Amino acid sequence: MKKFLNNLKGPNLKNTLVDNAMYLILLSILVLVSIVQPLFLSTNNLTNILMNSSIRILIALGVSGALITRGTDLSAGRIVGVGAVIGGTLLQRPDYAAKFFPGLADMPVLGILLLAVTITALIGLVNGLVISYLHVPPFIATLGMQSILYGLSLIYTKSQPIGGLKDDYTYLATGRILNIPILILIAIAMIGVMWFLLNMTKFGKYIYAIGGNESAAEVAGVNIKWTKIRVYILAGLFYGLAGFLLAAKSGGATANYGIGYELEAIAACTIGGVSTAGGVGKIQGIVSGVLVFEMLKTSLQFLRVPSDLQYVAIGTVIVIAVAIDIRKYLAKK
Amino acid sequence: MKKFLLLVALTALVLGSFTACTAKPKGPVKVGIAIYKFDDTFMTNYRTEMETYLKSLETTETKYEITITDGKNDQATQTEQIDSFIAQDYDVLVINLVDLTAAGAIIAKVKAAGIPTVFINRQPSTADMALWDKITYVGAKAEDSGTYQGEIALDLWNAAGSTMDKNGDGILQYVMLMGQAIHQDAALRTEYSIKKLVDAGVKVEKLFEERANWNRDEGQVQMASAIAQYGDKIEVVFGNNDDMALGAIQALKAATMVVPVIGVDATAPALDSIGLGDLAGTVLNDSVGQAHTSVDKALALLKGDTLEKEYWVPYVKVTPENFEDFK
Amino acid sequence: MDEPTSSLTQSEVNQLFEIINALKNLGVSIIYISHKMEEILKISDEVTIMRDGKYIGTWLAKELTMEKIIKSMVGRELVNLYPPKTNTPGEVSFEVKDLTSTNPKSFKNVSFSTHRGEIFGIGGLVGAQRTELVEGIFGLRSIKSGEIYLHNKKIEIKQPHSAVKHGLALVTEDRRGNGIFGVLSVRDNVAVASLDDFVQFHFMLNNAKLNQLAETNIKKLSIKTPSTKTKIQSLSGGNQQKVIISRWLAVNPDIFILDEPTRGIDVGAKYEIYSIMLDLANQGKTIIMISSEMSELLGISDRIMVMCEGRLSGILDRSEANQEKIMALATAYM
Repeated sequence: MKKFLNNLKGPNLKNTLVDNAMYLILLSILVLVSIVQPLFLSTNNLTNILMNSSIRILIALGVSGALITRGTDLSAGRIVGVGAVIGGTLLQRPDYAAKFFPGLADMPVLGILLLAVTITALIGLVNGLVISYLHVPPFIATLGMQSILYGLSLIYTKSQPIGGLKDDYTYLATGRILNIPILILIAIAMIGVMWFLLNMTKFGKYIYAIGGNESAAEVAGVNIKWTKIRVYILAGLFYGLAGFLLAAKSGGATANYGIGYELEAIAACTIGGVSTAGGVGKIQGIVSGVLVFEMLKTSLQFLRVPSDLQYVAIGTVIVIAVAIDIRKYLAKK
Repeated sequence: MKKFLLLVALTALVLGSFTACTAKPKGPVKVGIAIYKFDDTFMTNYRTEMETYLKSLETTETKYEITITDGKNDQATQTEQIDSFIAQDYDVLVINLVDLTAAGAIIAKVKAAGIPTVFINRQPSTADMALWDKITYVGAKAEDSGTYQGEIALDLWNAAGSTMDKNGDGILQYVMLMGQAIHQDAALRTEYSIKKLVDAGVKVEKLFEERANWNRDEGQVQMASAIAQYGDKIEVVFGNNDDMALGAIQALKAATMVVPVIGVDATAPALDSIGLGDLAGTVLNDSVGQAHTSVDKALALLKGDTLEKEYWVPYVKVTPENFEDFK
Repeated sequence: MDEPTSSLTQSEVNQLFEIINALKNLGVSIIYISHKMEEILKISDEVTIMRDGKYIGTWLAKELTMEKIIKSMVGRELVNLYPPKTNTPGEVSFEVKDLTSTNPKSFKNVSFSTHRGEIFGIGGLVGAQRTELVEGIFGLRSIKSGEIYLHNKKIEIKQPHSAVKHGLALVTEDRRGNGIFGVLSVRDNVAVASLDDFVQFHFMLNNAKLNQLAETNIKKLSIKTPSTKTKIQSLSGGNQQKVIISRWLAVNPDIFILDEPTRGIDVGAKYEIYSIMLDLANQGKTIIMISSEMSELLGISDRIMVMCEGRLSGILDRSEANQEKIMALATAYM
């Protein structure tokens, strides 16, 4: 912080502004909208933004590993859908008339959560195997998986919407501990987990090495195949958790939950400093990227921008934010 | 001798081919159904019912070979699927268009191929429907679904001892959650639900109107935002469909608010919600009735009957009083 | 022209110089960057010397001598280009028998053995498949047939991480291509191959110890860098090379393979790298060094193996090796 304030003096001002563009944009949005709509700063609204962000952060954290290793994961959204659908179909009220599995015993929430993330982690494993051993480029591998999962979800849910969730399941999204919403606590915990993995383990160092220079990583003795597989397994785990919580939050699920979520997650990561050239990306950047996105979406509403124009606004902000951010890497040649 | 045998063989061949031509083998009737997209709950129930009903009409002589395609919400994809039906000589088509502006081109194709067609759920313009006499439309008047929503709200407003007007200003403050932009049902339900109230003399004030694109999770997010902005001022919530309405209920519950919420579709979760006292009412889009009518009209066209240009299957208002009937 | 002769044979270099002279006569100005001092003296009219990003001076070529250039580049007198050889080779440490590549145009039936405490040079022209040979040994390229023995025990190396586990190290020829992790810090570049040594409680890395490792190596190898956190891509070529060498030093390998370790590096840093190599040899390690610089091969190798067109053309002992013999072997199969 002190360094930040010091840098505000003198010729370093321009560089400081560029380096911290993301946070400044965040601040500007906050200030602008609060002036026009004071209710934007209400606890209620800020809590909403954090709740929506909690789910999105889980997805962004999941995809960050793939992005840092110069891959991508276009199946993220659908895997979120799988998590939602598994949670939704197995945690319905016993007396719900249109119960998906009639006669299913009352299942424990944590047990089904474990089942859901195990399944989504296995899906991630398949992605990892296809990418590492079959050498299919991540773009294609995950795009194919996206399509496969969609079909499987439709078949599994018979295209019916799922509702009537148990109270102790939806409690995950409505409950609080020490007056902090459980969803937000879960997100904070997972941010901690990812931070630890990326900064304090061999696995994390190998991820950055592979992204920084895959050939050099090979020569240095990094087991590239196995590291990449773990990246995608971890991603699947995060997406599954996000989907499971998403169903709790909205009280139901359908086969098309999570559609397109990967694009926002990837954009948020890129805005947050995960370089497209690989090997670069910090947790605080990813989290702020997601927050910027969510704040932007909500503020456009508070500003009464017509919904069709909102798409234009969001796209414009993404491009500008990344253009400013990418200067960090261009200038230092 | 050789030449004589050759002559006999040739004659037999020629005569044989003649009989083959006249005695046409009776294969199954090929029915092509093009749906705008598969992950739409209502259309899923619709197409499943069409298939079940058609199969139930099979006899020992008449069999139906049914192919249903998913347009994936992309008209180009659907047009290719229709071209494929035409190329494979399908006998009759049922089409649920992605994009109504493509109606003219599609009608020209089926007319040229001579394949009678029933349009469902999305109605082509009168001009387009006039292009050929072997086409018809089966649907429900989307305006009606909106009107019934308005009726449900009106009944609550006028009920004896109604607490709907929380601030007592005689104006109904509402939140509207809309479906996808290009879907005509969204616009019609948005308009006609409010029109019913206004025509009945109720003063209304729009607090919040945003798109939740038919999705439950988006409904929750948008409603949460509406609550953050307007809180207790909200007196009623309209959702263009049940999924969004149910998402809204989730947000209201999280804010410990109780406000009447009205949807459309009468899906199973919606009926359950009425039973729990959360959803104030919904409107049944009669997928079963519409499915039967479209199949009947398709078969009628095949027989050669002359039909009207449009057939309406009514919506049904669903409230706490009658919801059990629809489970 | 920036280091234009690094992959050229002597005759090709002569051709290049003829072209340069022709361009000069047409009035074209030529800026020629090189670290090969004989070349500079041969082809230049004026010479500008830079050191550590600073401008040192400009002289007329005819007024310069090798010693003067070295003194300006290094900043002090450098009497010897190569450190004194004090290592004594011992028993056989590593042996390769009949190694053949799956690529018919690459190395074929190469056999040699190396000893503990030995510096084993590999010479030859560009295209001799020397890099391909060591990449094959290291598991980066596929082998069709042949055997590898480490301390007289046969081993199989299918992938680089297997080679590292067996105690081999490879400093590659292409620093930027597969040597450095440009966007990562000096610390991470040093530590990447030896992370196993810094794990506590089964999976947690001790970042403080990693920093220590980097600091120790920076001091030991005189690596010039603002801090351990600096991105390695902002260091000079010589310093980057030292970081890569310290990466491998940290895994304490028995067999240290270096491919053109001093290419593109100034004369002062070269000496430092030779000293490191000799130090390792004195500790009983085996050094295998590929080089295209004759003087370098003759300067520090105990034995020199020469390859030509993928085949082994001969192995010379230090006592009998000279430029003509090496060149003869390097062109034996052409």
